[in-house]
Amino acid sequence: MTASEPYLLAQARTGDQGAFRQLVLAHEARVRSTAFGMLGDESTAEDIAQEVFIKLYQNLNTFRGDSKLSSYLIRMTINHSLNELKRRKRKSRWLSWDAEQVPQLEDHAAHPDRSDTKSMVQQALKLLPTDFRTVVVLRLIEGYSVKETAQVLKLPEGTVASRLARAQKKLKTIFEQWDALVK
Amino acid sequence: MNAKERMNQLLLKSLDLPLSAEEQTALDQALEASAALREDQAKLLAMRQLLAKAQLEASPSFADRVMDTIKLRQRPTFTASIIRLYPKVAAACILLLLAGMLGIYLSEGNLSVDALVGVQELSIDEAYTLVDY
Repeated sequence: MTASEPYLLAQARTGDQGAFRQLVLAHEARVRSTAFGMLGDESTAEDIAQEVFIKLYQNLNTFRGDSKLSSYLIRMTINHSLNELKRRKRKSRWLSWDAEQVPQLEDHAAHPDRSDTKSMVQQALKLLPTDFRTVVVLRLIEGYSVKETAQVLKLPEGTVASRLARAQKKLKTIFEQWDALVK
Repeated sequence: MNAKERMNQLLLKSLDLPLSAEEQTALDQALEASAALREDQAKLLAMRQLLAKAQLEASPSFADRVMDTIKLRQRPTFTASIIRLYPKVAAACILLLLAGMLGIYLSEGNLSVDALVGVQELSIDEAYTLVDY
């Protein structure tokens, strides 16, 4: 939390939109990036991030500051992203009449463009179960520590560490198949 | 769990959590002895670098879009305006209705259905004439 954040929060509560804009500027990159990591497309990530900040604006008076604002925002982003993924799953189920559609590594056997790191990473993340993807996004992309990731997700640190280890094993296999780890 | 699996787990753990002195020594020795483990370590580190590069950059225009949406949502909609105006409109209608009934009562002397409908002074012949017309 930056030094002026409690002040900005107090000002925003009085209706000072300039103060709220400062808070958005301070946190937008991480919120958008987390949603992007979870969902894999930038336009939906922007929509989710926007909803997160609008919800914060609506709940300014109920946010008591027990947790850090950044953790609060990232938790909301993860929850919104998980809801969006569930909505997509339901939609694809109705459209295709399939029980479930989880992308498989074989579907991505063709090597993605290695020069486009972001899209390659997004393709790889889509091959992970959402539980694993969430910890990878927070720990390995956004740079939270294991402890912070556990706090954001309200999980024991041991669970985060074990999901992280299993996710990395799977990601390593995927990237090896794509020759993406060759120096 | 065999020794190789255990070292792989220690290697993964070492990337995210502090190891005990005993674990660190065991991992260092295993890394020194095994080229495959060193290769795994290099690949994992390369992969983590790749992932760290996938972060989105800041977008200054995003904050403006959020503020515009907030302002837009704060603007009263047509439905909200109607709901807010509804009590006044409803009170005005009730007053008009009461005034009309008072007018009928003063002119007709009662509030019977015929008086309200306005057919009290209509004879049966006049009614037929109206039907023919």
